Amino acid sequence: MSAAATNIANAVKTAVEALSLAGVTVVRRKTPSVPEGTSAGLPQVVVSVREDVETERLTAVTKRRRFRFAVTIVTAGGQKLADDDTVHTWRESIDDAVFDKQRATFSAVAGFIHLKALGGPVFDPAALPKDFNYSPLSYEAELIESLAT
Amino acid sequence: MANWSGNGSSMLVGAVTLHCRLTRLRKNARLTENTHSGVSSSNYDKVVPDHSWSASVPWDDANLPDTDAGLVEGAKVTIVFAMGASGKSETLTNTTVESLEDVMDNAGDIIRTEVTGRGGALTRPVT
Repeated sequence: MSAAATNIANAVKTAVEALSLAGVTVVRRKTPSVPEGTSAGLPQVVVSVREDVETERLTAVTKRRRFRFAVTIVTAGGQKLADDDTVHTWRESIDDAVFDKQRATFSAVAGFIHLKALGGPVFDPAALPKDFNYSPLSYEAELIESLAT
Repeated sequence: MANWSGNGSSMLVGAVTLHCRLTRLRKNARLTENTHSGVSSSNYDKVVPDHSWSASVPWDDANLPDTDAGLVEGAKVTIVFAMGASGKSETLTNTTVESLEDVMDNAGDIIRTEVTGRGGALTRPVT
C-alpha cells in the first residue's frame, strides 16, 4: 500500500474504534472478507482501501488522487439474511464518524480535500464467502498531492 | 512536427509562478468597419491589438493570486504563459487585471480563483 492509502485506512480504523461498538473488532484487510466456515471474531468491522487509484494531473506540479474504500460490518448468519436493527444503528454511527466528521477524522492525512459517500459497492459482493452478512459503507477520499520530481 | 500535452502550463506573473488548472490567451484585434466602394463585400480593418486572457487557479493558501502574485483588479502586470510540455511560452506585457472571482463550492470542489485580464503587448511563441 502507498503511504496515502495506509494513512486513510488508519484514520478510518481509529474513527470507528473510537465508537466502541459493542462486541465489535475493527480490522484492516485488503478486501472485506473473513475466512469461510468460522464465525470466530465476529462481529467485525473491516476497513478496506482499494489499491487501484484514480489519478489525474491537476496543475503542472500537482495531481488529484481518489481512493475508494469500504467500511464493512460483517456479522454471522449469512444464510438467514435477516434485517438487523443493530447493524442499521452501527451504520449510522460509522457514517457520522467517517463522513460527517471527515475534517477531524482525516486531519492527519496529508493532502486530504474531501470525502464522497458512494451509493454502490467498492468490492464485488459476489466474491465474498456466503456464510456471513456484509453491510458495506462505501466512500471515496480525494487528495491533492505534489507530483514526483 | 509535434503535438504537446497541455499539462505543464502555468503563469509567471512578474517573478511569481502561479500554477493553474487552465489558462486561456485570446489574441484579438479591435476592428473597424471600412466597407467602401472599392470592395465587393463588407471589409474590416485592424485598429489596435486587443488581447485578453483568463485563468482558473486552484487557490493555494501559500501562494495567493492577489496577495502573493500581484493579480489585483486594475493592476498592470507582465505575464508569461508557459505552453504545456512544449517548452514554449507567450507573453503579455503591461496587461491589466480585469477581475478575480473566488469560487467556494461547499458541495464538492476545492476553492478556485477565476482571473481575467485585457490589453498588453504580445510576444508570440516561435517555431
